[in-house]
Amino acid sequence: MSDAEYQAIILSVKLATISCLILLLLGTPLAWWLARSQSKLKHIVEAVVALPIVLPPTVLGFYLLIGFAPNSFLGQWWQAITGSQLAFSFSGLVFASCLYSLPFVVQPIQSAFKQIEPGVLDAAKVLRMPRWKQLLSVELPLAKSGFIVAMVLGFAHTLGEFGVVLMIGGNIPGETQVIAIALFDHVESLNFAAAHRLALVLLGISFFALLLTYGVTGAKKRVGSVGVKF
Amino acid sequence: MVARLACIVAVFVSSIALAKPVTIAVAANFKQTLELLAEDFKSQHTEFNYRISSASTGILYNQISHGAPFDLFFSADDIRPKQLVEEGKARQQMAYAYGQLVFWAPNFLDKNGDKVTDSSLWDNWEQMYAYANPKLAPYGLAAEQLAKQKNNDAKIVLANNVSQVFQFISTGNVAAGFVARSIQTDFNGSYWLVPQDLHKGVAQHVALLSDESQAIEFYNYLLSENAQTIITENGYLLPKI
Repeated sequence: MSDAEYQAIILSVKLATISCLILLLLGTPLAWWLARSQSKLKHIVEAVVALPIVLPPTVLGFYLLIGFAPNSFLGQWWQAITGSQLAFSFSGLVFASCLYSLPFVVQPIQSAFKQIEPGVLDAAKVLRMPRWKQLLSVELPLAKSGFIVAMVLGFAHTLGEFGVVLMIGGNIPGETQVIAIALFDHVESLNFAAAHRLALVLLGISFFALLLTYGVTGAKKRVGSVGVKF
Repeated sequence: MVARLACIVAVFVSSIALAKPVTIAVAANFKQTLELLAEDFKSQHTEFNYRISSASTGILYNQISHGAPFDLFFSADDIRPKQLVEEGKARQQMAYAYGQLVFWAPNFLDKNGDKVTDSSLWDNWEQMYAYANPKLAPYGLAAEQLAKQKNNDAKIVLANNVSQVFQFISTGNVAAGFVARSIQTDFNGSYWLVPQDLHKGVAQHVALLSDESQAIEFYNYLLSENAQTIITENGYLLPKI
């Protein structure tokens, strides 16, 4: 392993961890709303959340590149707040990963909330439990396995992210050169030994992540239902 | 008589329809020019039919090494076609064009509000700029040679190939970068056409991979006056033959 390869692995793990945490914070309320809401908007929001599964990552990346431009709304806003640009930066990758892995985090949590027996919630109501307490001590613990699946899938999906990063990353070591990009570089420049090493690392991490998921849920059905693609 | 003619025509038509298309692999930078060349060749040889597959030089070389069914390979460098000949995977190879490197900054104006179109643009450049990955793209290798001579600490963004450098610049995410002249024949804003003697150059070679007669004819056509006109009109220099 060279220093550049270690750097790529550390950067990928950092990116996947940060994106995963942000997605859990933002995705949980969204998933809860989708599970409980009767609103007409619900299906539209559900469809929008699932879009990154359908859109080719390079296309998503291309639109992000346009969106990150210094003269666009998003680019200007970011520049005003942080004084730096979004494209070719780690922050830009986090932003892109949150969009790209959104369905992988929201969908498992949503289905976990949905699977809670209505009777349990009714019992909590009868016991005059305040709404926030219901959420904290009944709903969240019961949806625990959904959260674990969401974390693992969000993490693994971001770890293997390639097309989006290729479009907006700029291949900067230590900043945007993640495992998948370094691996692609090695394959393209015919450095197969290094490519095999990185591929093994990716395979290892992903395999254990999925093993963990199947172990926790004990059923393949649920993992399949959130649209894992390989 | 009519029936016999109809028969002959039918056989002739079906033989055209059944002719295996010539499959051409091309490095992304030359794709558009190749399409023009193939169309021009087809206008002289109506039976010529072809398919074009474009990717980066590295990817295509890999595919050919693993037995991809290409008849011709237009590379963006000279190394890989020569390698293919050595490995016995190509019958012959030759230079077909020299790529020209351009340093392009569409929105840059000097103190008087004028465009800059000489080397001072590059000499005084201190902001972030982009070029193609030198490990993957010959244009990137040429740009890297210039960047090393300059050694200031401007941030560099590496793109996957020259098309992506163009994307980065045209979307406004980076203010300048090194692209191939062939990407656009007339550059708006400030630009500097890098003289060939400042870097190793981008010699683009083509490898003949099969013995299909149409592929061989097209390979030879590249040296014709028609072909050379099309190549130079699209921002390339001709190899010194």
